[in-house]
Amino acid sequence: MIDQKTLDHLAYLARIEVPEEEKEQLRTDISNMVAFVDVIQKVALGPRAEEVFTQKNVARDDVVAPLESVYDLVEAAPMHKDGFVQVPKVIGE
Amino acid sequence: MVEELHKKIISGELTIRALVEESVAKAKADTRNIFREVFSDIDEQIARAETILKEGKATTLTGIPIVLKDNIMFAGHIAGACSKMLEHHTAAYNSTAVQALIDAGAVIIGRTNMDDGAMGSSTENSAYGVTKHPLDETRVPGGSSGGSAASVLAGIVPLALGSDTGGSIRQPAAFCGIVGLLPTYGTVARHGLIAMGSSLDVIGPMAHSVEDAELLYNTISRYEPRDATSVKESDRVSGKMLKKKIAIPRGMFDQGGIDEEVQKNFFAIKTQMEKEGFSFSEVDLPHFGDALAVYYILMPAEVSSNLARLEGVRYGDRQSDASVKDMYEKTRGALFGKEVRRRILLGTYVLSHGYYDAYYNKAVALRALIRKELEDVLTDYDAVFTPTTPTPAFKIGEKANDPVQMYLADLFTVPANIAQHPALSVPSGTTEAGLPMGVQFIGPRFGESLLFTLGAVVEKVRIYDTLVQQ
Repeated sequence: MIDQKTLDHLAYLARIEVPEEEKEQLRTDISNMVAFVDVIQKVALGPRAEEVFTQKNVARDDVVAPLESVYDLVEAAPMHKDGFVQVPKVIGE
Repeated sequence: MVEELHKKIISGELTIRALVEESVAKAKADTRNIFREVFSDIDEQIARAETILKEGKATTLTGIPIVLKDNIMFAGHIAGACSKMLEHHTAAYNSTAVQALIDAGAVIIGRTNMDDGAMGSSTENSAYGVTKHPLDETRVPGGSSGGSAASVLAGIVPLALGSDTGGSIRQPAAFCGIVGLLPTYGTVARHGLIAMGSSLDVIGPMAHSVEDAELLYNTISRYEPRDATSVKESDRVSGKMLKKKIAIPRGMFDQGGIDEEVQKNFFAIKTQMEKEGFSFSEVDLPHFGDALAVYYILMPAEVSSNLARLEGVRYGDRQSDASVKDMYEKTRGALFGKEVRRRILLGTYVLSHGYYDAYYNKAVALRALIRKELEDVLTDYDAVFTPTTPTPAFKIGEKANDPVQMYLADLFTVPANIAQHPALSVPSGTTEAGLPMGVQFIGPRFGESLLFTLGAVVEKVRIYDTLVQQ
């Protein structure tokens, strides 16, 4: 069961503002979701189960190359000026 | 179907312009909310395809109209994932899959409706409203790739791209009576797919027929150095030959909630395939049924991490400029849909101090076990056989207020994503009310060709032709 205090903490950690009138429904929904996934607690696991995933790291060669789309990427920001992304004042917060 | 269109284009019986313009006209006339946008650069794309044709370099896809799910990036076009957060997000580059389509000369006519951030099983979570099922407008087309599935069923385009994190290609494909493939994780690159659950997400084809799905899969499946989980072509070996032996998970229907007509259809297809020389055996997959719970731990965990990048700074829209904290909280609170917020909060919970071992780590270990059990079964069998979905398409609003009920729609599709194996959904019949149903084969890793062979058998033995509207 997720209580209101826990929900507020999760919302703070996730940086999501939850309107007061939605809190109770959201608390119920998340509680139901946690209850749903809780069945895995009953599953007993043998040793070394984690060794099945044998994915290899595929790093590419470290070669210097121009990034053509850098200005397009800056353009994707909601606020930008002269090729820089604009944000509210951070220092002194 | 695509092969026939290609032949007509090559012989001159059909022009690329006529073919594409017919699709565009149908897309523009649609009243079921299938499209988010019909693109405005169609003339340029047609001209490109015509040049490829003139130069004698045409591929089977040259001049063929296709649509994209709204989370697949096409440079210079909006890719919004049907979220308010990304309503004005213009793709800065092409996804690997789109680049492959452009190279092949396909004409991308538009982007389709989907659940917000690909989170949902009905398109009801789209910030722009539900897509109505083309065969029954009181029902959902499935999701999250619901618009893509409906566009193929409605006969607007022969091919569509979707993405599948827990069933989002196969479930709407089954609901809409079309073919949908979840490719092996690592074959179709995630580069340029708006991320949801990075260890689960795969772009895949949706089409009228297995043959068309195979064609599209072969086109988009290529190694991508910009995706660290992309597998080099030389390493894509399944080493499996057709044995004509199919496995059915023991006790699959025991938990209840599986529609009777779905069960009947499933066993009818089994009987038909037995006449074609296939043998079926019940096998033990003890943790198959736990995959859904594992999924609803791992996926939200990855969602909460992936969507941290949507904070009002780098992409999409911003809500407040008062302070950094205010900008984060107001932007994310106001612009993420309800289900997205729920999943981020659940993901934050399972990853938070004190719960990490009990949920996330346990789920990771169980995931490995589920994959091991599946791989063991697939050493002796060609594929694991299930219905694609527990029920046919449900009514709009029927499950909208109960997230957990909605999750059960993914019961049979989720295990393949958890194991990173390929799975194919093929239309297998219709209910008495005329709603499509599908069956699913889960194959060995890199065993797509085996799945296409099995899918073609279902197409041969099933008792109806095709529902695709002309």
